[in-house]
Amino acid sequence: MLAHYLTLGLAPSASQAEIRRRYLELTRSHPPSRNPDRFGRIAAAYEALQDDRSRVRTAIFGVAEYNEWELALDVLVEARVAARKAPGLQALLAAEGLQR
Amino acid sequence: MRDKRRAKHRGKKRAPQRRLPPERLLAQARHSLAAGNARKALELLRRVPRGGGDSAEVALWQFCAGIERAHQLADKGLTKEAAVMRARAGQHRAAIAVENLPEPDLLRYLRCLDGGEAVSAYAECLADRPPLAAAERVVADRLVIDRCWQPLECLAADHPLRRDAEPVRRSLEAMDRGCWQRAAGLLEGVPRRSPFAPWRTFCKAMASFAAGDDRGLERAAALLPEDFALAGTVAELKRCAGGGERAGSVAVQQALGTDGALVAATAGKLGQALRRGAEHQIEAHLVSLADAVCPEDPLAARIDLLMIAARTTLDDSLAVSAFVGLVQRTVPEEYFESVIAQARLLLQRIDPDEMWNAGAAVDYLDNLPVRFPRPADQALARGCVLESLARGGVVAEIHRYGLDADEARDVTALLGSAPQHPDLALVDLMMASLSADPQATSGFQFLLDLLRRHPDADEARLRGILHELALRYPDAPEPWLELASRDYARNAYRRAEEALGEALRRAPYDERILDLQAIGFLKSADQSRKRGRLALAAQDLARAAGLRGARRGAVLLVKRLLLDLVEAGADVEAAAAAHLDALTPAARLRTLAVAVHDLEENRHGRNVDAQIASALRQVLAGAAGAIARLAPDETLDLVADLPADCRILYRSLRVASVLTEWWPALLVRLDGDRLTACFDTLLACGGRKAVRNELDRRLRGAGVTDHDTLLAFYLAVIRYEEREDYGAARFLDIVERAGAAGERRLRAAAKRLAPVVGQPLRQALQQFDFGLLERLIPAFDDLREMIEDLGTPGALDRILGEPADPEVVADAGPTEPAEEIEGAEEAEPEPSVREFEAALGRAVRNGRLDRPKAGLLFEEEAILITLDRLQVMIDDAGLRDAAAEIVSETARIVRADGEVGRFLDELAAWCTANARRAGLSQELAALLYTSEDAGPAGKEGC
Repeated sequence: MLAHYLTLGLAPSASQAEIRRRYLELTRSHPPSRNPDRFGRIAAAYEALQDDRSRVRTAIFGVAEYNEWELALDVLVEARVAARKAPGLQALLAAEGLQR
Repeated sequence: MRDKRRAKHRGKKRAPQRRLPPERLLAQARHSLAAGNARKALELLRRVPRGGGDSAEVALWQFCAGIERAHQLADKGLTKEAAVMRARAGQHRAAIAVENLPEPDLLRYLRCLDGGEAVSAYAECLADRPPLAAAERVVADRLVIDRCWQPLECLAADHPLRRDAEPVRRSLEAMDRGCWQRAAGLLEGVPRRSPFAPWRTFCKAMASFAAGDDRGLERAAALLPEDFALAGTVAELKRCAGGGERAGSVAVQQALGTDGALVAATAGKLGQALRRGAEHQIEAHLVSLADAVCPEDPLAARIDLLMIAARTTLDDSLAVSAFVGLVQRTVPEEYFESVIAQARLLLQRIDPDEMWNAGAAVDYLDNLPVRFPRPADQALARGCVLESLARGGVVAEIHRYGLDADEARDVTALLGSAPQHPDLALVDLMMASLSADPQATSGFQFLLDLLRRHPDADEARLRGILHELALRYPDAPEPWLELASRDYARNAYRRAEEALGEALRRAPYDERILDLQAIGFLKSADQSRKRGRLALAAQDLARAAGLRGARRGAVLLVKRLLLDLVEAGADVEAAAAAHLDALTPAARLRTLAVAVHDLEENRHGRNVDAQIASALRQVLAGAAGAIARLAPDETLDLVADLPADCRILYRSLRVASVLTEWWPALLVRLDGDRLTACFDTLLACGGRKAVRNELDRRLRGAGVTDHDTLLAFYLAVIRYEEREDYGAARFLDIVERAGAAGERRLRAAAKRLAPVVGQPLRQALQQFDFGLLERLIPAFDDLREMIEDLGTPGALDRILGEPADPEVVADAGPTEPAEEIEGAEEAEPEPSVREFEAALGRAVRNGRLDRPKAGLLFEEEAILITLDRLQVMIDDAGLRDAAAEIVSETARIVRADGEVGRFLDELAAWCTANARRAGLSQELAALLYTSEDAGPAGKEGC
């Protein structure tokens, strides 16, 4: 399910190495002592994508993880809303129209 | 066309432009440029007459407006026009007297230059004026944006711009990769007063933003100057930190991922449309939400949202045909079949009981390359889908009822050949799943579990599968362990030992295998002893004793004792004494108790003499004198680990009952944790009566508030198990009295007691939620189903409307609609119901009975059947002949569900109206009639 990728701030095409690297970065910057909920979401997302088998299973049956479809939709949107990106300088300059 | 356009404008005259003073035109041009309208600024500047106004000032603004306009054209993709505009603007530069420009104009001018030009221009200024901090910041911004560092050499070596440029240059790579924390670290050495200092602060702000540290973000963003190059980003960051009202542009929000409000609003609209089943709105919102959620891969987002939409077909919010149309319109053609099949698989996984169908898996696997281009992923997906199908099949009880023709065809398509044994189709699916994905550990474990669900399947086939698994997974002990368990179950001890040996070779320290091996040796010894092969039995016991660790030590002692007694022949007491003398008093009592229990369980064995049993009982009676001398710890030793030692080896764990008459004397000396530990063991080993007596003795006469809440809790559990109590009131009262500290002890006790009690108390203890006792009375679970069966409008029409051949109906049992009514039952529908429905259908179709009459008949018959089923429920709940208050308490709990209460009221009204009340049993009358309306007629029926 896409929500897991969004929680980790990654695109669905992210490689296994990228997923792992991002997970380690996020667990360092969001330790459980600071925000247990956020950490829990990050850990759950990584668990769903941690290897090729989990990733494929999540891609096929990810939406079935939730009891209600409303919950699946909420989780997707929450993951997107909470997904602050860390764009690079060039992306920011382009967004501001400053790139020449 | 050209002529037409001319004709259109022929009559119009251009209004003459007003002549404005040059100062006014310049002021308007500055205003327009500040508002971002460079085109209008240029237009205004062109109207300034030659020689009018300050030519240097006009040149400055023409240059600035021209550069700005060039940017705008470039943004639109008009690169040639932009280059022309930039060249034209450049022509005005020569007329600009940089050294005389006031500070705001100088800043404006510098912003229009690229990094290198800005450095040169600022260096020119420095000759005639003191350094300007704001101008240096602008130059620094230009340098970072354009990355043109060479011209810095025209500045003095200690100039801040030149001095601090190096760390900035080094940090640019980290900034470009979005590693803002690292970039901030690299800029740590940049002084606060440096023109590059805002970049260090900006890196800190971005790092705080990415880490979700809003306080840090707020602090950093507040330090950034108003004229910082990335002003829009800073405004958005301040807004996110809660300190600013101005938002960044949409592009900036998208870059930072802060456009959440828009996403949430679109999702809300999609949710509403899904609830209403509004097909076109769903499509529109789904597409826009997918684009907003994942602009990098909107198709992936669309498929996810389509899966969410598919779930709404389960509650009929969205019609299946509408969903298919939605998929058709929102995904590329080549994805269509794959997405539809995925939706079917998903629905199957959610509700396998209703939706199990191997066809969806066939379709999905046929289209795998569309979703998973990599062959490795395809194999994983195949394994995953087949495993899901097999797991769903267990819920749908395919392993019990087999496959119908369509399902068999689909499974054949999945496997590539027809399943060898139709009742093992799920096993075949799992084998295929493991072939595709051999490393699926959960699938491997599930397959072993699945094999255990086929006790009646062809043994040779099952053994073949286990041997195949053992070959496929040469390092796994599980297939051998499973083979050994099967051999033990068939009393094939030697073969079981061989299999266990194989398992042990693969996992020498596996406690399960060692334990099973000990059990095997002990059982084998038992068997040999019963057959009179005493030497072989002794050999097995020696092998059990030689196993690593003290396994089943208490039972091993007993088996040795029994073997010695059988060998001793007549002098049982002397042989027993010789054997027991070396033991402590507690171990002696324990060995004797287990030996008596063993003989009771094996009393049909050939070589087990009744004389031995009675002799052992005498020895036990003689040894009981030691009970008075047992210390509390020794009393605990008497029962410690008894359930674990006896489990599997004996059918029943009721060892404690052997010592029934001695428990009061033993328990009276225990207190605190020792007492509860002893209670726990006794409750597991059939000593509930002893525990109850001790609890009654201890709690007798004590005021309610003085009770030890833990003991009261044990008593409440036993009272519930013995059906003296129903409901949650007593438990809730105890928990309330225990307080927070006592509750921890109660929770621990609940966890220990849960395995030794039945449902629903077990669930309540496991969850420590005694409200469940008010909601769950398992025997009455089917009531809701009955209400659905009887209460569904048109149930009769479904029965009568079935156009089946009467003969077929009579021969083949229930027709499909009849199954729909009785179909939810676990057991075979009652023959009387089937016959009645079939006969009713035949009567109506043959014109012998009109529908209203048939309706009345059906109603009466259905209600009588319902009353019968209620009687069965009363028996199952153990309410028959129970005390009146227990029956009424149960009725209160069952009726607490409003719909059930109304249903029972309607049944009661029907019984009263049809003079059936007198025929009801006392318990059923109590269930149907509340205490207010339970009059003499209710008693009459007792």
